[in-house]
Amino acid sequence: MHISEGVLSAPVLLCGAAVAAAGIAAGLRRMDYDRLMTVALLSAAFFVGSLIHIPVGPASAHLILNGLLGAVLGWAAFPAIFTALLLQAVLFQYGGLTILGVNTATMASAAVLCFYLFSPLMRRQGRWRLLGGFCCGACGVLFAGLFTAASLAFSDEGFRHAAGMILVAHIPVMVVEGIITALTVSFLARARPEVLHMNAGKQR
Amino acid sequence: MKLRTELRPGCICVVMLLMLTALPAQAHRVNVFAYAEGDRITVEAGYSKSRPVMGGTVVVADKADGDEFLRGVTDDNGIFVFTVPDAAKKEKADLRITLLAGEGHQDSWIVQAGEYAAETAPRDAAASGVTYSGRGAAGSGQAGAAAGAQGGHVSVDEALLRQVVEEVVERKIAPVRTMLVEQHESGPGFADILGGLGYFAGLFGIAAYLKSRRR
Repeated sequence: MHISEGVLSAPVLLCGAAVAAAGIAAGLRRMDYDRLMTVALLSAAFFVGSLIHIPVGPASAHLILNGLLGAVLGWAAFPAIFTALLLQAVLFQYGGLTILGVNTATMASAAVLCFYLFSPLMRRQGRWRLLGGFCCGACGVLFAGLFTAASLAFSDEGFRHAAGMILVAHIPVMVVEGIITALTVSFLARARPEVLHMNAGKQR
Repeated sequence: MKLRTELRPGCICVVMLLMLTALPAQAHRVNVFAYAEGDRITVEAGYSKSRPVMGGTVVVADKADGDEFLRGVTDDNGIFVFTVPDAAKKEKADLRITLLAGEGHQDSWIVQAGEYAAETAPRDAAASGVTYSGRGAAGSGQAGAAAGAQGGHVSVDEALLRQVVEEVVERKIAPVRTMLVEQHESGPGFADILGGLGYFAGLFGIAAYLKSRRR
């Protein structure tokens, strides 16, 4: 889901950068001292998650974990994903520096959207929480794919073709991430409820 | 400093687990690599050396002005072979070979005119018997052409010799080239991954320090 350098035109790049900057500002404002560690750890998990490949047909798909970041961090997913993408671009040459804004915007907006859609469900008990977590993880990938396709709509590839390619390649990823997110959320809710309640209750 | 220390062990375990599973994984970055054998150019495309890009579009264009010469599709091994078009030979154009792997993945590789032109020039000259337009080998070229004008076989022999030498060198060079491709396409190593995690620790430290001073 990392778009490479040189694919998109300048207006799209600027739009992405603007969205990313706004999201990062919003995330940083909501990030207090107690959440720093969670943000750093999940950012590191995102960073490493991209190295885990799920073999599917001709395409190359890897874990994204943006749904998980959305579920736990809410708006703080923006700075977390930005940091991870920056390091991936510098150390692994994934994506690139000029396209950092677009990549952050596509993956982090999906995370925040999922946070708002599914956090009511995840605050419930038992099965509902598992279901909420699964949907959050799966839809994180789904929305990120759609946003990525939307930003490719203005390139040669076109929205429909790109969306088709991305979504087909990422169906297994969606399932895997749904499971990972559901298990992580239910584990955190039992073992470390304050981590989840941080963005549910006392968000400033 | 009321950092939630009780949070750490669980999360660290998760990250460590992810790291362990990550070790055999490969880069999620497309690579394209091209080399010339005579005027045939082989393009290799992969997400990493073990995962070829199948059915990726390869666009061959002039590096200087971006004019497209041809485009093709990689096979199941991520390979696309083409012959340098005459238009490119005439202009002695450096070729920019761009791979479009879909989903916004793209990479490019430059083949300098010298890589293919060096071998095509003598062959042309031998065929037509006219003076070389070649670079580099201008001295011997003139001599060869002069001989060609007089006798005929001498220049043919020289062309043959050239071809034989090219072939042998090509064969000798092949393993080195394979090594280069592997190096170019190898994914992030353990050091890169650990280094990245170190950055996160460092950034967290800086952020925690700044926040703790503010309160």
